[in-house]
Amino acid sequence: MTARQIRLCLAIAAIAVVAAAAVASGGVDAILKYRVEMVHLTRQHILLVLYSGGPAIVVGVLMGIALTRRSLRRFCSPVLQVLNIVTAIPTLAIIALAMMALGVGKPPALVALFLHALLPIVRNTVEGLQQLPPAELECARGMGMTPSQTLTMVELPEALPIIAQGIRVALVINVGVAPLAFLVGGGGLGDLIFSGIDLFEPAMMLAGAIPTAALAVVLDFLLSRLTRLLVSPGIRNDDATVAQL
Amino acid sequence: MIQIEKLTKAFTQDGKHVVALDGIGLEIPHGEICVLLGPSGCGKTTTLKIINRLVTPTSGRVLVDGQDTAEFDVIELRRKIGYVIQQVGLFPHMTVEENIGVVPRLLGWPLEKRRQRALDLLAMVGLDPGAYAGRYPRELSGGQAQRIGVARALAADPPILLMDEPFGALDPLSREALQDEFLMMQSRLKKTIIFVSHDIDEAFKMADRIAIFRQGRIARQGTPDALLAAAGDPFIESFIGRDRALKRLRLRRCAEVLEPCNREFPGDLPRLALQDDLRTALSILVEGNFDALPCFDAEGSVVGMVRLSEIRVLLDGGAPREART
Repeated sequence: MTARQIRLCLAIAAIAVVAAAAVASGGVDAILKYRVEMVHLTRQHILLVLYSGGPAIVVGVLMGIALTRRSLRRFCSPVLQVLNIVTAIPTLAIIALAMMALGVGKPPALVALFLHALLPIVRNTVEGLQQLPPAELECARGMGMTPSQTLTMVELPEALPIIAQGIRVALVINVGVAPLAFLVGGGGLGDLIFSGIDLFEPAMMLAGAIPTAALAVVLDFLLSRLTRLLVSPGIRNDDATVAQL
Repeated sequence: MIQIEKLTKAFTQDGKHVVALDGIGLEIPHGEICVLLGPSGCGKTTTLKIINRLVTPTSGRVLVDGQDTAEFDVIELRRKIGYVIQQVGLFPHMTVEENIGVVPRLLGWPLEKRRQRALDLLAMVGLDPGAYAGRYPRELSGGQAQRIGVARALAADPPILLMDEPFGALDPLSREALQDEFLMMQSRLKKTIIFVSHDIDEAFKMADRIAIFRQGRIARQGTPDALLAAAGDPFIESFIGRDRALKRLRLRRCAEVLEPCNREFPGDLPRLALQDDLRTALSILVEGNFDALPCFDAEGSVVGMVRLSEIRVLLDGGAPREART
């Protein structure tokens, strides 16, 4: 099965589960009761993902580029180790720690989400840049490309599929982790999910969970479309090589 | 004209002092192909990379038209030197046209001029421009890819080409074809070419002069014929093999030993052509136990004859016939 078929099957399964849950919780009407909050909190949720993910993309890609430069290469595995450890800390713990420093509200949530998104992006950028054949890069130098021309004309376009994969994974996971922001008063669809759980109110919980799931699926779809548009047909691969996660 | 003067390259590896190059000196006149020949690890690729300054020598210098390459801006220098490598090194995300246009793009040529140049070069390396310009490297065979590699190196019309075992990864048939076509191109383009090879037959076929490398030094250098004629040199003999007489004959054409036809030949004999090499001629002579055969020109008329004894004279160190008479 291709990656695309697998994704399609998963999406169908998810929709089936959600539909079953919706019926069990008292029907669509019960959920739609919360539509004003849904719209408002979905917007907050999207902003949480964008405000943490955007900086993570910029910082992550720049870090990945820096760590593969000749002069900084020796720092590459130590830095990745540190990021691995940071990512191994449960997001909840990071949020709690960030709250100690930054108080309640959006800032600690954004910091935790940012740190969570960083690793996949850095790792895939490093991976994507490292897998280029050394002979090809030497050829680029031998033809008279400056280091920055080599980076922008050869290295980044060729590593793009793998970098984009990392960004996609990071952002989609962030959509799923962002509900935790509720715990420090960061807003987002977590408000409905956690309140619904606490109040034994399945419809309220689903009013938060369904948009969260939908957001993740839609974002994944959009990012994969965008990647296809940006990657050269010469290296495009429908069963994209995925860096091991 | 490229002059290489007393190049040395030494470095420390795993705590050991390694001398990769030890006093390399070479002179390559304008328009000639100089083949650096030797086993792997003997320093020939290092020498090549010193010329376009991918490697910095420990001492010594390289002069291009009398000017020290160390004084050039390194980026500008490289854009004036075509570079072809064994792994081809085409950029997979660029089309064939974009690959060929890389150096022109670096030099700031407008798109239209780059496109036209790419199409011209595709035709020159024997690929249909309409069919190949828009392809990506993964849609090419090894031979086609290296043709593009050569076209790309020629794109900005550099006076110098560096070629690092360019045909080494190809199957024997494509390799022969590319060598032949490359020599045809070179006879028109007259580039100054440094060509690294570990293939003795390729070296003697392509070279105007050969430098045989051994452990970071040039063991022998000279024209192919002079090297092959150097009988009694144990190094050459062990390096080139005991069939060097045949290798020499392969470099010569029937035209060089042609004599006036002073007898009648029956019509059904095997035919020699002026541009046949003497190894082929010898094979035909020996096979049919002839002492001489008539030689034909492209129009099919007899222009003279090739005698076995004359081939022998040539191998004995005699100069080609025109030079003697």
